[in-house]
Amino acid sequence: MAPVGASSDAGLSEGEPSDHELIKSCQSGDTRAFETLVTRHRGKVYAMVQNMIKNEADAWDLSQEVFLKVWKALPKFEARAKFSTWLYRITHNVVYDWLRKRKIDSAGEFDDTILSEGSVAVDSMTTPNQDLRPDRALENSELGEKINAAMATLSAEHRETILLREVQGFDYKEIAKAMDCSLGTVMSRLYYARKKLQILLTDEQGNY
Amino acid sequence: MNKEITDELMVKWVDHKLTAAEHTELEILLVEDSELAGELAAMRSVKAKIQKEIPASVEPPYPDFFNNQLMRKVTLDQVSRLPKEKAKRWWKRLQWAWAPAGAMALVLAFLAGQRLGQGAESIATPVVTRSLPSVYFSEDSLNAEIIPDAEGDVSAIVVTGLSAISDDASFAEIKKGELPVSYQRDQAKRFH
Repeated sequence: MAPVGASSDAGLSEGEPSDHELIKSCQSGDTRAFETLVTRHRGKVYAMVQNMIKNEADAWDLSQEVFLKVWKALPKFEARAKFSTWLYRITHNVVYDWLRKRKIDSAGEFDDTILSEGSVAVDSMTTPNQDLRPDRALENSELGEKINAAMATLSAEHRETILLREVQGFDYKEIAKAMDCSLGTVMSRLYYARKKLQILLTDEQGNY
Repeated sequence: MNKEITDELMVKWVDHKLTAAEHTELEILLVEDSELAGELAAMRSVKAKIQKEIPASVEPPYPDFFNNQLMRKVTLDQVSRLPKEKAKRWWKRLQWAWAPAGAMALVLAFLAGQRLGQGAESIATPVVTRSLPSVYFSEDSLNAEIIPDAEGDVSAIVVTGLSAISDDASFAEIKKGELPVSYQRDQAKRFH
């Protein structure tokens, strides 16, 4: 599926500044350039966070946190690095901090994830009255539901590896950088996650 | 073959990333394991399904509000950072003066110490003025006169207004907490 909201450097139209040009302006305190950068990347960051934590409100807040951290860390960003990899590294840290904190907070308490919106059909009567977005329509498709359910069984590390590779199209080295792990770990996580998904998504007749 | 290498070959095959040499290695594995081809095809199919179903980018709800909120936080961050940066710059600008200023402070401290040592003998003993203590009684009929000595310390307190103790009072007979009858009688007269 083509990206819905944001474009990257590769998809820029003529005259549009590149990420690195925008970053240079940001580094000299240009907040307008930063807003352009945010508008360009917010969709990818939000999708990534949402796919990791499966909670719309928290994903919104965490995406804000990601970009605020990006703003604060921008003076240290070096031009030779790839912005998207750096951005996902920050996203990774924010999501894992949140997951860790949530694990501590909910230790020994009732697990409220069973009440999260992921377990409720998005067009059910109990959800807020909002127009059904195209991505939500897909979520409600039978295959979409199956994939979401299968993805939810993966560990955070395996899910993130799959999302970065299959959905965001990162190469192995970029995944290793974004997740701060070795290339070997990326390969083994990819193999394990794909194998598990393949088993879960195979129906009784053996069709994939 | 090492399992790690096999896994890597399979991952790369799914992603169309195999080199010619790796392709040959995988071919050998496929001959050895008849189920491997099916497994690989299934993995590739799963990859395609995920790419079809999960969007790479989804606009957050209320995207304009998202930007407004974020830019408000950015502005707050800028404002909070300004004074610190100014102070840092001012401090950095005076970095060259740190060493001479430190040396100067040491010399001044040494001279001040010497002067204090010389002048210590000439410092007169401070005159301490003492105030006499006050004496309070629960009964209005009692008074106290405080007599100071030459240095201003209390030398004696004279209490007036006490009733006389009768001659027949025997202190040896007084039990703990009990006063002589005559004394109690005198006290009763005074207050009634």
